[in-house]
Amino acid sequence: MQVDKMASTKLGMEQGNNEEDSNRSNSSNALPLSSSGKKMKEDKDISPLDGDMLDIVSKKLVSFDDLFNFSAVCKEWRAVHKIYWRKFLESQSPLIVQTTRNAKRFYSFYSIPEKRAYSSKLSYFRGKSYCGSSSGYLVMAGANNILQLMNPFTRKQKIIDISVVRKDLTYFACRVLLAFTRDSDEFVLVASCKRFLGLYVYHSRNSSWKTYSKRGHPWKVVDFVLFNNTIYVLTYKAEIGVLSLNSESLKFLKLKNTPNVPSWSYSLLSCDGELLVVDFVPNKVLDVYRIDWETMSYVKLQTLGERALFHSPYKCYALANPGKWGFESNRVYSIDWDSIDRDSAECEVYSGSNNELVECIMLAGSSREVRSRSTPYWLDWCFRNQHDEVDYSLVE
Amino acid sequence: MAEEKSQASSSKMLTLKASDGVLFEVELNIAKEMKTVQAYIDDCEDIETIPIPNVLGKHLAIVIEYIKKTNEEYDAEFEKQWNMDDLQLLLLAANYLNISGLQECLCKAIAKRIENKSPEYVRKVFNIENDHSPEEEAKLRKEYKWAFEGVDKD
Repeated sequence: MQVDKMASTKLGMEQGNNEEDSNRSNSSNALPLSSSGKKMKEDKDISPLDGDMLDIVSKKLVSFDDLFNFSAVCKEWRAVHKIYWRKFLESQSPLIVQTTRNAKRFYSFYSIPEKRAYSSKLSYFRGKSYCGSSSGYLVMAGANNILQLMNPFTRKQKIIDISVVRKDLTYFACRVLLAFTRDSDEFVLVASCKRFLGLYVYHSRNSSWKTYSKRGHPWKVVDFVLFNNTIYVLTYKAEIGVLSLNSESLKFLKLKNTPNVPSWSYSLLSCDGELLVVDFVPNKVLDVYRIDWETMSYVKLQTLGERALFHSPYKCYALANPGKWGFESNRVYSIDWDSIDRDSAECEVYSGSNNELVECIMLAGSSREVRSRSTPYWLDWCFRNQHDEVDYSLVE
Repeated sequence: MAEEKSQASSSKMLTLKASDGVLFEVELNIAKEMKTVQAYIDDCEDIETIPIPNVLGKHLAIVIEYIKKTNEEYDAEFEKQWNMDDLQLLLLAANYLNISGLQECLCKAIAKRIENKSPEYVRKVFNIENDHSPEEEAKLRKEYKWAFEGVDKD
């Protein structure tokens, strides 16, 4: 509208600004012939879309599906996409994955440091329960006794039949951990639910479920995490056990200074070579412990130091050197169900020293498909670079 | 004294000559946005007419207009004006003249035009040959609908 109309008419350019114009690739409404008499199409030997420009174009694309289509055009575009995507996936900066009630199929991935949202079209999620994200996969529980695991970054999907353990796992408050065996497509899925606090492990190599703690007996399991290629399990009494994949047992560590107050909100975290136990309730409780392996004891931390915690109703994560990834040290970034009452979600940031609210971050600029004016359905942190690996031979 | 000199140079006019001979008189500070032209000026200070051999008059006019008027609002409308062919030629001009703001604006426009479009459409519009092997094609087709098959009831 601001473009000089007179100049445009003089140039004979059309003011078309809709899809129809751009769809017509014949030159009938395109440029008049240049003075040298050559038609525009022949000049197309030189494409302006070289590597640098393709890189810029790919960065402007918001949807993972558009990026995938971009990579499918030809070998050159695929090469550009590969470089971009590799860098994208290396980032340890967590994304907030969320859907809204009207979105049907579109999942939004919001980046706080970049202040932008990406989107991806996955299968319908109405009627399915979100169980968590692990190793880049979003885990949804369907009505027909299956778990659907979808990785929007690698476009891979896994289906797990849970008929065997269905009665012991309530869908809507599940907790999962997906870990792959090294150099293989085989994987294990650790699962528990908040209602019964049992512990179950699925092995893909023989498509079977193993029960470690049926409905919370003998141990009430509140969390689990992968640490040093081994699965560690936390009970509500803050006991830490090592999970043996080859037998249905946990081997508990003998730790001194174990917190003597049990809590359903304990989380077990792995951070840069350290095992942490965290109890976090916004504004009320923030207890952070580090497991010291030399003294075999719980060590209480007064501050998070050079770490940031990321908390959601599903899980708690820790990130070392958060400054490198666009976040601040000694902070707890919390996204919660409470914020879902409002029209758009927000992230509350608490101090890691005194658990006081430091700021609220609005998740602005959600992608078009996930309209911010419809209430968020669920939301969680998603670490795109995470790829947990277990070693069957490690634990005996 | 230095101020007077810079004032004089900022109102100094330059002539740009497009590939088809069309001449454009522009202020120095406008021309300097084109890094290619800036380099030319740095090399030969006294020059008054600078040849732009790779860009047609009509595109150079659009580019100059863009530099003069660029802001968020202008850019948003600017990208809607042109069809795909023009976008590509304008991008060629922006590349040659090395104007990063215009490059970004045009790439954003191109990205918007290929949103939700199939690879076939993109190839047609950019006149690109599909050089994937049949195996690669099959793999891509499989990955395309990766999350939709089998599990959904529509």
